[in-house]
Amino acid sequence: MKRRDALKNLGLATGFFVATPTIVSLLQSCTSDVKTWVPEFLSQDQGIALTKIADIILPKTEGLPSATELNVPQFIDKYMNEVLDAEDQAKYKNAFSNLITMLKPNSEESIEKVTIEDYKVLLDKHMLVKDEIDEEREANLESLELTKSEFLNGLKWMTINAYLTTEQIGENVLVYDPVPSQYYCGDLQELTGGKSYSL
Amino acid sequence: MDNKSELLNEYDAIVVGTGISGGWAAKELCENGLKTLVLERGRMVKHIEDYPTANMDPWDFPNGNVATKEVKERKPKQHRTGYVTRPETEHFFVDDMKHPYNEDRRFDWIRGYHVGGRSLMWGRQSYRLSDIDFEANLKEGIAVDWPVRYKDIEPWYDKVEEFIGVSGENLGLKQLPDQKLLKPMNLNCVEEELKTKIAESFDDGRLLTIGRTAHITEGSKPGLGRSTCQYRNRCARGCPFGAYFSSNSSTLPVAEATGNMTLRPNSIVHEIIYDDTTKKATGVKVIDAETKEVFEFKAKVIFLCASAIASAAILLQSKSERFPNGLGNDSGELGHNIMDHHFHVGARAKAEGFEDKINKGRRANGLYIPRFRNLGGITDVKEFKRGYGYQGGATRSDISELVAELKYGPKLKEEILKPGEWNVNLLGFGETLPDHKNRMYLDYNKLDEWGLPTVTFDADFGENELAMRKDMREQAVKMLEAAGFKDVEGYDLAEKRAMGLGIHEMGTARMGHDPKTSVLNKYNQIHACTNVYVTDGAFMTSAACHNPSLGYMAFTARAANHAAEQLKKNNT
Repeated sequence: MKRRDALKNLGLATGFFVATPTIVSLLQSCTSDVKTWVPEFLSQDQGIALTKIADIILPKTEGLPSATELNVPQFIDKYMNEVLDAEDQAKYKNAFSNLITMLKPNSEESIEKVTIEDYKVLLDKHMLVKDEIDEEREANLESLELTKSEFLNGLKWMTINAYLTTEQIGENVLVYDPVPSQYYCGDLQELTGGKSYSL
Repeated sequence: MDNKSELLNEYDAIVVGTGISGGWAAKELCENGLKTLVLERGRMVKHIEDYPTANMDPWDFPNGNVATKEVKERKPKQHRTGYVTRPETEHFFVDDMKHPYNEDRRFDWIRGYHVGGRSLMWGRQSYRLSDIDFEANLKEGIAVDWPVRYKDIEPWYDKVEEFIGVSGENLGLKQLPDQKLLKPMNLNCVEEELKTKIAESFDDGRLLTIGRTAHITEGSKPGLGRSTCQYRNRCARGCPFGAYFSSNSSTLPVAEATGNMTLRPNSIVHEIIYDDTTKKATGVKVIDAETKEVFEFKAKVIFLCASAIASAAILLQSKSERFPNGLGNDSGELGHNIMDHHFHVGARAKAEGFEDKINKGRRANGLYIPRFRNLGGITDVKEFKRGYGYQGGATRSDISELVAELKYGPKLKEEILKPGEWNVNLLGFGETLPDHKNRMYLDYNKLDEWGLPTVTFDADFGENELAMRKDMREQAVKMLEAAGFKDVEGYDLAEKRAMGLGIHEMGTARMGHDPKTSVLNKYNQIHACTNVYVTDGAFMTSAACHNPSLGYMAFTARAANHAAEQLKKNNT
C-alpha cells in the first residue's frame, strides 16, 4: 500500500498528525523495511551506513518520526541514482566507499557491528559546521573529490531535504497551504505558529 | 480546440504559431470573420486537461521537484536556465537532441513546441513601450528608427490589457506609460521598507512599485473560465484557475468560439510560397511533425508568429527568384540585429527586524524599479546609452540559518521546521542595443529529422551592455544600503551573461521606414510582400529594458485588424 493511501485510511492525511509508535510501525510495515531494502545506487553496506547516519541526523523525537521512518535513505539512494550527474555520482560512490573503510577497517567485519556511538564519533570529528575549518580542503584546494566534511554535510542536507519533501512533513507538520488565495505580509505566530510553509 | 472541421486547401488567413502573438492573431482574424488556419509545430495542449503537474506537491514527484539526470542529458541547453527542466515544467520545453541548433557564439534558445507556445510558461510581466523607446534609435543614430510612435499603438495596448487582465499600479511616468490595470498585488513588509527608503534617499526620480503582471486580481476575463489569482505560484505548469493570460485559456478559445478557426497541431511550417506574378505570398508549405507527410495550404494573408528566431528561419528558407536570400530580405537584415535583455546583475542583502513576519501566499510577481537612467537632466550618464529596470523582491528563507551550525540530533530537527532570514534581491534587466553583427543564419549541412536546415547563432552583448552592467550592480548596492539592509553584496554572474537566457529573442525582421534597411513596415507587413505579417519578437526595432510580450500582443492585434481591413477593401 502506498504511504499516501495508508495515511488517508488512517484518517491522517489532513490536520496535525502526531505519529504514535503504533502508527509509525504500521507505516513502516507497508513501506520498505530497512532489512529487506536493496539500494539502487549504493551497496548494501553503504545503504546500512546511510540509514544509521540519517537517523542520527534526524532521530525520532516526541511527535515526529525519524528519517528512516519516512524512507529518507531510500529517497537519497534513488536521488543519487536518478538526479546526480555522472561526475557527482562518481564522487559520492568514492566517498561512500571511503566511509565504509573508515567505519570498519577490516572488510571482513559486518557493518552491523558498527555502533551508533562509532557513527557519532565519526560525525563529530569529520562533519564540520559553520566556522570550523576543513583542513582536508585547505590542504588540497584543487581536488575534485569530496572531502569527508563535504561528503557528510552533503548527506546532512540531502537528509534534511528528503525529510522535508515527504508528504507527512509537508502536509501535517509544516504549514500546508496549497491554495492561499491571497498574499500579504503577516504575523509569523498568527500565520504559522513560528513554522515554515511546506510549499 | 479540436480540429473537427475538415481541412481545406484554402483559407482567408493562415497563422503560424500559437504563442503570445499567434493566439492574438487567431483571435483578431477570426473575430473579423476570416476563415483562419492556425498551424502549430508542436503537440496539442488543452487548457487544464493537459497541465499534468498543476496540482502536484513536491512529494508527488519521485525525486522532489528536481531535474533528473536523464532530462538534463536530453535538454542540456534548456537546462542552462537552471529551472525549466524541473519535472513541474520540463514537458513544456523542447528536447535539445530532437531540436538541435548551433552556436558560433553561445546562445540559449529556450522554447516549447506545443499549442500555446511560451504563453504557457512566460514571465507575465507586462509593460508598455514609451516614446522614449520609440524615439531612441532616431535620436542616437543607432540602427533604424521605429516607424511607429506611442500614439499609434496606445489604443491597442488598451484593448489587449482590458482583454487579458494586467494588475499593477499606475505611476504617471513618461518612461513607463500608464496602463489599463487591475488592482495591484501587495508588496511585503520588507519591500515596503525598501520602497520608503528609496523614495527618501534618491533625488533622481527612482521609485519602487509592484510588478505589473498579466494576472487577474479582481473579477474575471473572457476565455475558458478565467478567474482570480490564487497565489499558488505554479503558473508555468499551466493554471487551472486561468488566472494568468495564456493563449490556451484566453485567445485561442475565443478564436475557436467564432467558428472561424481551424487549429492544426504537429504542423511544421518551413516555407512561405511566393508568387512572382501577383507579388504576393499564396500559402505555406508544411511537414507533419509526426507522420512527415507534406502539405500546402493557401491563404490571402499569412501571419508569422512562430517566435523571432523561428519566423526568421521560415523566411530565410522561403527562397524564390525574386527573393533569393529569403522572403522579404531585400535589406539583408533578415536574421540580424538579434536582441535579448541582459540580466543576472544586481545586488542582494539580508533584512533584519522582520523576524516576526512571514508572507501569506506565494506571489508570482515581484517588485519593479522602473528605468531611471538617461531620461534627461540629472538622470543622464555618459558611460552608456539607454537604461535598465530592476525586478526581484524580498522573500523569507524556508529554513533557519541555525541548521548550518548544527551537526545532528533533536535540536537540528527542530530548526529545520523554522523559517530563516529575509533575503532581498534586486535583479537588473537592461536594454540591449541592436547590432547588425548579432545574427542567426541557417546551416544546410546540419539538417534536423525533418530534413530542414538548423539555426546557427552568432550573437553576444556589446560594450554598451557591459558598461551598463557596472551601473546596474552599483545602483542596486546603493539602494539596498540606503534601506539599511545587511550583508549587501553586488553581483554580475558571468556564466549567466548569455544572449537568449532572458528568453526575449527580438529583432530578426525589424520594422522600419525604409525597405533598404528593414524587413517590415509600420503595420508589421513585409515591405515587398504585404500579405505577410510578422508580429512576434522579430519585428522589434529596439529592445527597451522591459519584458516585451505585451507589445507583441498589441502590435499583433493592430496588424491583424489592418490585414482584415485590407482584405475587405480588396474584396469590395
